[in-house]
Amino acid sequence: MRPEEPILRIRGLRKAFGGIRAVDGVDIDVAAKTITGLIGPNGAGKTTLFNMVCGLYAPDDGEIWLGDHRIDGLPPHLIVQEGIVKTWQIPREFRNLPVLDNVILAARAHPGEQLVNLLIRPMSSRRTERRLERAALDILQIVGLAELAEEPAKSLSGGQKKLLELARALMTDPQLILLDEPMAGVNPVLATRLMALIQSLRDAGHTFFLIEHDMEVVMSRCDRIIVMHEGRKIAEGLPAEVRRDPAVLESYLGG
Amino acid sequence: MVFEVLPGDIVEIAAFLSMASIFALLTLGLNLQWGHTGLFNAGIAAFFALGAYAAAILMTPPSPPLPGVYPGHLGGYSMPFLVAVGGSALLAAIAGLLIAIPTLRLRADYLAIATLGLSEVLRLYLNNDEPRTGGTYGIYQIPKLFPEYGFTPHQVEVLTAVVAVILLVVVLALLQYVGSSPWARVLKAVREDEDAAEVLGKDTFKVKLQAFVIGCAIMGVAGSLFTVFLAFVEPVTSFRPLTTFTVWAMLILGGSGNHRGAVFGAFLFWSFEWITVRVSLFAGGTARPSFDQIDLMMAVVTIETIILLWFLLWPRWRKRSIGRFLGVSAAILAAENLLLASLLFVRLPPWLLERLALIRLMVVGLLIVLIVMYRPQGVIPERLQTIWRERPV
Repeated sequence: MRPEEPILRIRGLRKAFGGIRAVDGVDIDVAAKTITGLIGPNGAGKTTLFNMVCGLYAPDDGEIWLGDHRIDGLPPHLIVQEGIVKTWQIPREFRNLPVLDNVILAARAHPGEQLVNLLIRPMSSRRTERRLERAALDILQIVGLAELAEEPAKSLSGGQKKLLELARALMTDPQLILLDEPMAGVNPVLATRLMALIQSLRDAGHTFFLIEHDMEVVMSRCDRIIVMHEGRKIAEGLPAEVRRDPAVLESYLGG
Repeated sequence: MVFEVLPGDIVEIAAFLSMASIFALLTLGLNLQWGHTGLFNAGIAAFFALGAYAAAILMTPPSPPLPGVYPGHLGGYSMPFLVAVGGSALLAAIAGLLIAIPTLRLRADYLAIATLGLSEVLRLYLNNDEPRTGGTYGIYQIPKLFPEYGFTPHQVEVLTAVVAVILLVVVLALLQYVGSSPWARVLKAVREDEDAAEVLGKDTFKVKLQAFVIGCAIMGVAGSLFTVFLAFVEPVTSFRPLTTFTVWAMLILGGSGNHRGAVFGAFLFWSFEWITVRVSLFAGGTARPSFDQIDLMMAVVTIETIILLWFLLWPRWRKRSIGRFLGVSAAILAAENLLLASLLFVRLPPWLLERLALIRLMVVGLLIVLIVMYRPQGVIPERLQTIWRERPV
C-alpha cells in the first residue's frame, strides 16, 4: 500500500535533555489508513518523539501537524481532543476501576464529566453514559475482553492489559493511534492476534504509528517503516527497502 | 441493667452528635481529596480554622478592644448562621484554591508540604495578630443558633446537634450523587494514574482543582459548626496538626474512597475519644460518675466493641469457630463493662493517674494500629466503581 495524504506531519522536531540531543531535527510523514513502524536501536529517540507528539513533552523546536491543525506544545488532554492517542509500553490501566469503566472513561466530551452538568442537566449525562456504555462494550467485543467488562482492571493478565490499552485508545475515536511497543511482554500467540487485530483496524480506516523492537512483526506487518538513530531519521520506506538500507544495517550491527 | 435516657444524657448525646458530625464533615472533605483523587492534604486544620474564624467574625456583634483585658477582633457583622456557613465555605475554598494552583501542577508531595506549612503559619498568625483575631484570647460572644426564638440552653444543644446532622446528611447526599457520576470516575482515574488519565484526554489539573477546592469548602462548613457549637474559637488547642491527623485516622478507619465509610469512621473514632476522655476523667477522681453516666458509657462501649469485633475478628473466625468468636466477644464485653462499673468504687493509684492522658492516647493509637494491620481497607471499604449502572451488563 502506498501512502497518499499524510495525516501526521512532523517538521524539524528537536528535543534536548541537558546536553543529550534526544531528537535532533526529525521530519516524518505518517499516511492515513496505514501502519507505520518506527524502529531504531535503544536511545534512538523514538519514545521521546512519541512523547512530544502526544504532548507529554514540549518540543524545543519544530512543528507537529495533525491534518491542518498545528498541535506541538499543546497539553496531552487537548491533543487527545485533536485526535491523537497514545498507548503505553507498560500498560497503565486504572487498577481499581472495572474494565468497562476504563474504556468509557476514554470517551471524549462526556457531559457527565463536567461538574456543572451533573446539577443542571443530569438526564443528558445519563443518556450519554448509556450510549457510551454500549459503545465501550462493542469495542471490548472487538478486542476480546467483553467477558471481563465488570472485573477490576488489576485482575487482567499482562496481555489482556495490552488489549485494554488498545480498547481505551479506540474509545477516544482517534485519527491517529500511537502504539509504544505493543508487542513487548506479550506471548507469541497473543502477539499474532494483536497484530492481526491492528491490521483489521487499519483496514477499517484507522491509522497506526508504532514503535516496535520485534523485527519480524515490523517487517511483515507494517506498511511503511521509519528508522531513527541517535536522534535523527536515517531511513524510511517500504519494509523491503529499509531491510537492505546500508545505513540501517550499520546502525543496528555496526554502531 | 436498665438503660434509661435522662435529660443529662440527652445533652451529652447532642454534644456527641454535634462533634461527631463536625469531624464527619472534615473526613468527607478529606475523602473527596484523598480517597477519590489521591490529593494529600496535610493541612486540614487550616481550612477548619478558616471556617471557624470566618463564622466567628461574621456572626459576632461588635466587640471593641478593652485595653488590658481583650485586644478585640475583626467583625461586628451580626450575621445569621446560614450566611456564616456560606462565608466559611467560601473563605476555605479560596484558601484551597490559592494553595492548590501552584502546587497541584507539581508532584503529590508538594501539596502535602504546602498544606502542612499553611496550617502552621495560619495557626501562628491566629495566635499573634491580636487586633484582628483576638490572639490567644480567641473570639467570644458568638451567638448560639437562632437566638430570636429564645430556646433554653438544653434546647440549643439539641438544636445544634440537629443542624449539624442535617448539614452532614445534605453534604453526604450531594457527595454520594456526584461520587457515583462520570466526574468521580475521572477523579479516581487521576488517583490511579494521573499521566494515563491526561493522555486519555482528561484535564487532570482542572478536576484535581475542583476536588481539592470542594473538599476545602466542606472543611470550612465544619469550622462554622464548630464555632457555633463551642460558642467561641481559640487558636491554641483546636487547630493543631493533631486535628489534621485525627481526621486522617478517621478516614483510614472508616474506609478511604467510600463516603459512608468516612462518616462511619468519624463517628466510631469520635466515640473512642469520647469514651476514653470520660474514663480518664472519672478515673482521675476529679469527678465521681453517677450510675447514669456509667450507663451511657457502657452502652457506647458495648456498641463500639461489637462493631469492631464484627469487622476485625468475625471475618477471620467465621470459618474456624463461631463458638470461639462468641466466647471471646462476650469475654471482652464483660471485661470492659466491669472495668467501667469499677469506676464507681475504685480510685486509681497516683502513678497511674499521672499517666492517664498518655495511656488514653496509647489506647487510641493501638486501635489504629490494629485496624491498619487487620483491616487496611477500613470498616466500610471502597466498592468497585459502577457508574449509574444498576445491574451488571
